[in-house]
Amino acid sequence: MAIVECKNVSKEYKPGKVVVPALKGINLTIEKGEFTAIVGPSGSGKTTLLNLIGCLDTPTEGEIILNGISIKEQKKNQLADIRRDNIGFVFQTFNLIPVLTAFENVEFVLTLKEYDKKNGRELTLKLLERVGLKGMENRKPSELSGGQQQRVAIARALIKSPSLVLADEPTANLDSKTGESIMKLMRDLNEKDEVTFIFSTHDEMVMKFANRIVKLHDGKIVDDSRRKK
Amino acid sequence: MIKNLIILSLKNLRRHTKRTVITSIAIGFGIAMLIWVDGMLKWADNESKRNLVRYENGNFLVCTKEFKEDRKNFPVDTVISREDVKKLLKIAKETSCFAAPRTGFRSMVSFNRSFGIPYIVYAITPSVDSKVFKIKDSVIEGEYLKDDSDGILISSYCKRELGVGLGDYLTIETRTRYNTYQALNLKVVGIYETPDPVVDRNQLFVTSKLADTDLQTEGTATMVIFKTPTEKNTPYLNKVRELLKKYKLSHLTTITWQEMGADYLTLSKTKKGGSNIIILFIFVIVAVGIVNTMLMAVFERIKEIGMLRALGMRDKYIVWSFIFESAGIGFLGSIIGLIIGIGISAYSVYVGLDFSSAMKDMDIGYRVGTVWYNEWNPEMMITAVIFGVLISMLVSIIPARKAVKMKITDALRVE
Repeated sequence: MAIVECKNVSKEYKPGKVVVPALKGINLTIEKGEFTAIVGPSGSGKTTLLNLIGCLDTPTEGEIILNGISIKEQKKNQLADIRRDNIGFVFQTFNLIPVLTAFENVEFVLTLKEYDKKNGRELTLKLLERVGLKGMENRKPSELSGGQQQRVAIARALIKSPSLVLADEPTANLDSKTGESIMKLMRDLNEKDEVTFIFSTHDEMVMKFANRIVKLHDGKIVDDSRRKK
Repeated sequence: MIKNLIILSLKNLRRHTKRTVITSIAIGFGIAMLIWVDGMLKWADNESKRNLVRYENGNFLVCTKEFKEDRKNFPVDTVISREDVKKLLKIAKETSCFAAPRTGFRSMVSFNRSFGIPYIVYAITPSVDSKVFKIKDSVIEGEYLKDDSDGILISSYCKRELGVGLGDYLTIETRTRYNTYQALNLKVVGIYETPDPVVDRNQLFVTSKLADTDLQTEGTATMVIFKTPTEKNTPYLNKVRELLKKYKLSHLTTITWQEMGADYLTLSKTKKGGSNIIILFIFVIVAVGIVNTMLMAVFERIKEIGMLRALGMRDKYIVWSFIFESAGIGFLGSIIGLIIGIGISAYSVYVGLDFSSAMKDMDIGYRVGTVWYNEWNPEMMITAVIFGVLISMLVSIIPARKAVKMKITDALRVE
């Protein structure tokens, strides 16, 4: 079952008078449960592609279908709801809310929609335990290491059981050992919980965890290869 | 959702405690000013109205219709006859009011061959007049007039202006009831000082016994002033009006203190516009403080705002989170303002602020002295707190909307 379908997607930026093409005619289908790495050099369009799939931006041309819904005609609030209900985000710089504890950062996502508070609390604690942060629930981001913060961000992305998690260079701000442990965690979640991950990277170590690698160059897919699990 | 936004906003307030406190203090200063100045103006206004009754006009007066028409010129040829004065004193008794006959003479008052200064010299019956007016209680030197006194009671203002003291003789140049010139040399027997600058600057007093002979009033008076037992003068006024008909005094008419003090009451309404200027002033303080603080918060948190929007938070909730944050600062500022305002007001209520040096010779329209007090105004205190919070919320909309104007992808790129 296709989670994401990109049909002839192009994206152009116009920072001034010059038009800069970021993506050119991308056709890509991501199936449920895939652990996909988008790789390529800087400026190849990795982040742009993730932004379009994550409904953070709209394509100049083409169509993106998420869980069978075309995002082309969606309004601003509808796109927000799609992101809220279907997509989890893991950012390179973690982007946790500094005034909230690890627990509150994860639980906050649930508050964006009606939820059962008791179940929500249990789920949050369970997820924090799942990402290896048991006992650190009440720590603020400033009291956590980079790796621990990224684990909180992963728990936050997973709390609403999204059909898709997008991670833009999730290990770029971490040392290699911590980065590897984060990738192992993501892979573990992918295998055991069947969460679909798409992440961008240009780190060889990170690529080895992916079961599908999509290579981008100058805004075009130049290679799309699958590996056996 | 709203509850969680409020919690998040309150937590955000603690990010920069110093900034929050400084902005709150600025708002608090404005709110305190509003509470203090409003309480002071309220006191001045109410005290002026009370003083109009206590020292200038009584609750209402009875005079001839001709006098009413020309009252600003103090005519002495349209008087209430001796018999009618007696009837009016009887009416006062019947209505449980106090009444005092008065005749005002426009005079030039001088001392030691100096140039004359214009005053209204009132002929009064001291024993009766003191039941209607509080001049007797305001004597600060010498003594109040006795019914058979030949002297003059002057104000402390007059004392300063003419350089006279107790026992000195003043020259009063005026016209008698029959319009003939008359000059009197009268000994200063007492000096009074009321909280009503209009009285102090304009009125001197002699006895009606002296005026009966030397100014030919012969038991007449230009007005009989009534003081009612309660502050509500309308029922007494209506009763007096009925009795005027009964006693065949239809040629006489009544003037209320509100009509006599119409100039002040008009001014009072205009002065209320002054409070609006203070409110505007505070609005500017609050607006500048909040907009500045919230803009800084927005610029600092652009990436975080982008993240929240990426997670699916709708723009309106982002805007609300900043509005709640502003409301928090506004509330804190309002509470600080309330505490400071109550503190300053308490001092003004119980001790008063002496503006003698600044206001000695200044007329700002209020019928109050140079020591200003405050009146508690709980309504304004509540309004000020609500006002502080609402204005804070209102002005934060501008920076809050700025927070969601940027594209999410651009916001996430900001370092």
